[in-house]
Order: sequence, then structure tokens, then C-alpha cells
Amino acid sequence: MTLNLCVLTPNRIVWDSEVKEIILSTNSGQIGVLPNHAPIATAVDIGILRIRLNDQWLTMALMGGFARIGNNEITIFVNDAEKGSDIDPQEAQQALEIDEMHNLACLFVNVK
Amino acid sequence: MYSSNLHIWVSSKPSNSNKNILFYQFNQNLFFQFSKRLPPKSLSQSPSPFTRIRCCLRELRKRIETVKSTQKITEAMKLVAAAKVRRAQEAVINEVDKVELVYTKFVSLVKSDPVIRTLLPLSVRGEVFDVNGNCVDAVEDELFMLTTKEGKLAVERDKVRVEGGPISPLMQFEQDPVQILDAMIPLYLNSQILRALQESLASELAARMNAMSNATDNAVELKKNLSIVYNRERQAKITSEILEIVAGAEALA
Repeated sequence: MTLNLCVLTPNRIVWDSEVKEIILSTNSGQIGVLPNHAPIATAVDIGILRIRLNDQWLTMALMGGFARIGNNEITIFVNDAEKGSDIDPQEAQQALEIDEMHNLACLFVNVK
Repeated sequence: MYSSNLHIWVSSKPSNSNKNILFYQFNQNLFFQFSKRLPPKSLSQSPSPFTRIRCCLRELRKRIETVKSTQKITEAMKLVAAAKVRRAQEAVINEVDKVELVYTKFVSLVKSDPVIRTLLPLSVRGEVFDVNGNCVDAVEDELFMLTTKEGKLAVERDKVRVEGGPISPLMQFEQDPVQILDAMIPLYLNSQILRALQESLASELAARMNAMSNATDNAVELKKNLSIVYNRERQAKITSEILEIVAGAEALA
């Protein structure tokens, strides 16, 4: 038995195939979903989605949204999603540093 | 002595007099006094703020006029902004009844329809309306298929199947309703607005393509006509030159 996973963003389908297990991070913690899970609906926080296909784990970054799990069909609607393999660590590190400096600057402005 | 005179002048009429008038008389006094003798050192120090602005009367009067007209303009702008800010405030503080989005829906490369989509309040049907007030929801669309039946052409009508099965009655919700709605509604509204933007972009580009294609055709035809006229003129000119030369040669011979 396998799960059918669909990860959808407003302008494209990021993932649409079968998986063995997923670990999803929601507002109230991380949940693992195996086949024949009970039907639930949950809000998805900004975090990492882990997908297992035959003992190989893939990661995907999700930018918050909503997920519906039921009847061996998982549908995740998110604002944006990026596959782990598509992310360049150097660029991401640089972007992180720029954003941190930005946040610090904003803090200073607010304090003043 | 001189400076003490000025001092008394200022203090005797503190707030009643028009500042400008005080100005003029100040300057007149200074001017007349200066013509008589050199100013003492104290004089040059005490009325310094006025001497700096001092210039001839006419320029000052012109300046006052311009400042007056600027004041009128800025006051009018203030009133306009006040009226607008009141209305804008109402939209922010009070509640609104309906939020609608108007955009052009892309039908095909040559056709676009303006459409009104109601973003709020949310409803299952009756969301998208065209100019005449007819509902053109995706849920109301019908598919017509042209097929053959028993050797003759026939049309089959089919309702559009809206995706999404029924919700299982056993479904549980991980978080409380407020959190779930906080996650769902921004997604829904974002996708509505994105759809509207994409459709209007597509229809704008299609319209631009059509307009430019027509313009290109017109330009080609215009170029052809102009070339014909140009060639005709050129040939006429050459013919007339030849005639002149031949006539001249004949006249000489």
C-alpha cells in the first residue's frame, strides 16, 4: 500500500506521485503519515517536509499552507515549495546572512 | 541712542501690529539714519535678524503675494486630503460589505471578457459575473462535444466536473478552527487574486499581439503604396529629363 502525495502551489504542481511515508511539520508539531492513516485536515507551518521512497528520504521546504490527509491520498496546498535538491547551500547561506542583518536593522529602527 | 529708539519701537507694539508693517518702518528708519552717519557698532549687532532679510520693498511685496497664493494651494490640498483620508479610514476601521475584483478574463487569442469576481463574502456559486450580470462561474460551464451519431452530426452536452470528493465524516482537525482558517483563507484569496492577475496578463498580451499584428499589416501595405508612388515619380522625372535632352539635341542639330 502506498500513499499518493500531491504538493501544490498556486502556480505549479511540485510533487504528484506515490510515496511510502511522509513527515509533515504543522502548527502543532510534526506528524508522520503512514498508509491507511485516519482522515485529518491540518494547517501546515513553514518548515520541512520529509518524503520517504523505498528507504530514501527526500526533503522539501514548504512555506506554510494547508494539508488534507485521507483515504491514502495526501494533498498539501502551500504558498511555495522548494525541493531540497534545488536549493544551493551557498546562495541560501548568503540570503540568510542578508536577512539576519536586515532583521537587526529593523529592530534598531523600531527601538529608536 | 539710536539703538534704544529701535528698542522702544518694538516693545510698544508687541502683538497688535502687523509684523510686515513693523518691518517696513524698521527698514525706513534704518535707511534714513544710515544716510546721515555711520552706524555705531551696537546697531549692527542688535537688529541683525531683520537686516539679513532686508531688501527692497517691491521684492518683499512680491514675495508676500507668492506666499499667499502658495498658502491657498496648500490649504486646498489639505482639504482634499482630509476628505480622502476620512474615506480611507472608514475602509480600514469599519467593516465592508463586499469585496469585488474587476479584471479581463482570457477567452481566446482574439476574445477577452471583462468580468467581476466577488472575493468576499465567500459563496459556492455566484462568484464571477460578466458585464451583463450573468453568472459565469467555472461551476456553471458546460462542455459541448461535436460527434457523429448514426452517420449524422450531433452535439453532446456535458456538465463540467468540479474536482474534490466528499469530506469524510470521520475527518479530524489537528488544530482549532481559528488556526485552520488562518491557514486556509490566505491561500484561497491569494490563488483567486493570482488567477485574476494571470488572466488579465494573458488577455493584455493577446490584445497587444493583435494590435501589433494589425499595425504590421498596415505598415506593409503603406510601404507598398508609397513604393509604387515613389517609382512612378522617379520614372516621370527621368522621362522628362530625357525629353529635355532630346529636344535640346534636336534644337542644336
